[in-house]
Amino acid sequence: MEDIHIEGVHEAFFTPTVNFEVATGHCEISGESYLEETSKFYARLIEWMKKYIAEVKGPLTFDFKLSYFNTSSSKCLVDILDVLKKYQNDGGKIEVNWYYDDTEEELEEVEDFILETGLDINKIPIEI
Amino acid sequence: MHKNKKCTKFAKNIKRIGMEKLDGKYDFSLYEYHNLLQQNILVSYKGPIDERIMNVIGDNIELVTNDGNDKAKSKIFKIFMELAQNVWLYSAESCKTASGRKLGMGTLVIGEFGDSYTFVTGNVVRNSDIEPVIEKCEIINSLDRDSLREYRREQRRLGGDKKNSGNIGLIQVALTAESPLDIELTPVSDDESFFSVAVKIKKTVN
Amino acid sequence: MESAVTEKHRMVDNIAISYTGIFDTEILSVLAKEIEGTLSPDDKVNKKVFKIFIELAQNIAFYSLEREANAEGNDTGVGTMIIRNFDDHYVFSTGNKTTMENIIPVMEKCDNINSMSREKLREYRRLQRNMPAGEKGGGNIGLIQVALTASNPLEYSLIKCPDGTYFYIVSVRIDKE
Repeated sequence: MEDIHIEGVHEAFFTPTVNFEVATGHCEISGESYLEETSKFYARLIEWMKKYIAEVKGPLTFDFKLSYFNTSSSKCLVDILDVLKKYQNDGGKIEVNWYYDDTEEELEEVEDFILETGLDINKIPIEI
Repeated sequence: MHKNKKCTKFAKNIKRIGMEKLDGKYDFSLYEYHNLLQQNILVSYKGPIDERIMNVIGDNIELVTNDGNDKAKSKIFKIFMELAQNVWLYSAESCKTASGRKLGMGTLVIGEFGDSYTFVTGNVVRNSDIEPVIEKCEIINSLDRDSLREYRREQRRLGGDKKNSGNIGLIQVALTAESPLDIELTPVSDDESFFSVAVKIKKTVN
Repeated sequence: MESAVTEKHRMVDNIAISYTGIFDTEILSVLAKEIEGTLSPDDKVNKKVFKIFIELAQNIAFYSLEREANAEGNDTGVGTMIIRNFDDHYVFSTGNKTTMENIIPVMEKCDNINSMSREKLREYRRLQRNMPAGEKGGGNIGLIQVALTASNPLEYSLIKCPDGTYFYIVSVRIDKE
């Protein structure tokens, strides 16, 4: 099983930067997410998670540091959170950190992800 | 003196040309159009929409909304991204690129009205497709912020239907703008209408 | 009020592509690609409109009285361009603010171009090309190029704005073959 390293691109579409490490179980998605084929892009990440859960069975730490994501991306983010929730329910050790621009609205958005998935997410405000 | 004389000559010429419009459709109201745009309009685009147009118009919008504070600008950007994508993906009027790619056509406008900006999109829609969208907009406008957030959570859970993602987009837009969606539907034929969405964003957001 | 804007867009007949805003290199290149790639099924016609667009849009960028700084901070002209699609032809129009002093030579040039046969026009272009840059009457090969590309006369209008400046519109018809 291999790490995932995707360098973020801000061109016509915005690809987020992705770093998923097998050795540590540390996963980070940062930058901006607005893609041509959103589901396809995230399917690869989810596949990686499922494989890690099945084979490595180690802890997973997720850092979400997205400054922008469109609504299609938000659906895929919920899918990622669902996988994490299921892993936790099955006894897996997880930690989820969500870095957000320190505004009421962004905070609401994280809170809604928490309500939506039933997952404990650490809300970490960053100054803009 | 010399210049004045010339002006008169041209004034005559202009009038002549104005009356001689080749097919009665020339010059129409380009001035009126530009003027209307100029009063309050900072950027306007009508035509095919793809990622390049989104990018360059998005950049332009960011540039011209310099009276807005950073939070307002970030809101405008998000709203632009959602609404422009809706036009691109769902417009009933489209064109094909040489490579056979289908692009939705529509209008994107950012205007300045007093202490707020207004972002407007418009495109042709099939009446059969738009009815549920209008209903969605009415629901969105009737909900308070907390109910709207609940509605977003609900909608996000409703499978990966492409059409549905446009609806979340509208909820997202209303939540971001903190103002209702000003929608307008004008029939253009028996089964098509022109659908426009306008959203107001305050220049100074706390 | 706000929706009236898009309504207006719809009502102005047959608009295929329109743009109002700053005319910097970035937007010019994207609009050009859009014209080249999507306007009509006929590549030859697209190429013509594309060439005309480049010439006339550059004029807005350089000469429009109304100016804004672009993203790089460069001073850039503001204006409007519209391509309208009719049964057997397109009409390409640009409009921008100007002053009477600045526009008189341009209108003279248009009249001059319109009075010439195609042969004469080609000769005129050769002559202009060979003129040293900066020489009076030099430059503005753009308009000759537009007339030659479109094979149609240049139509222009000048409208007095309430603020004492003028709004200059140039339109040209491009036939679909």
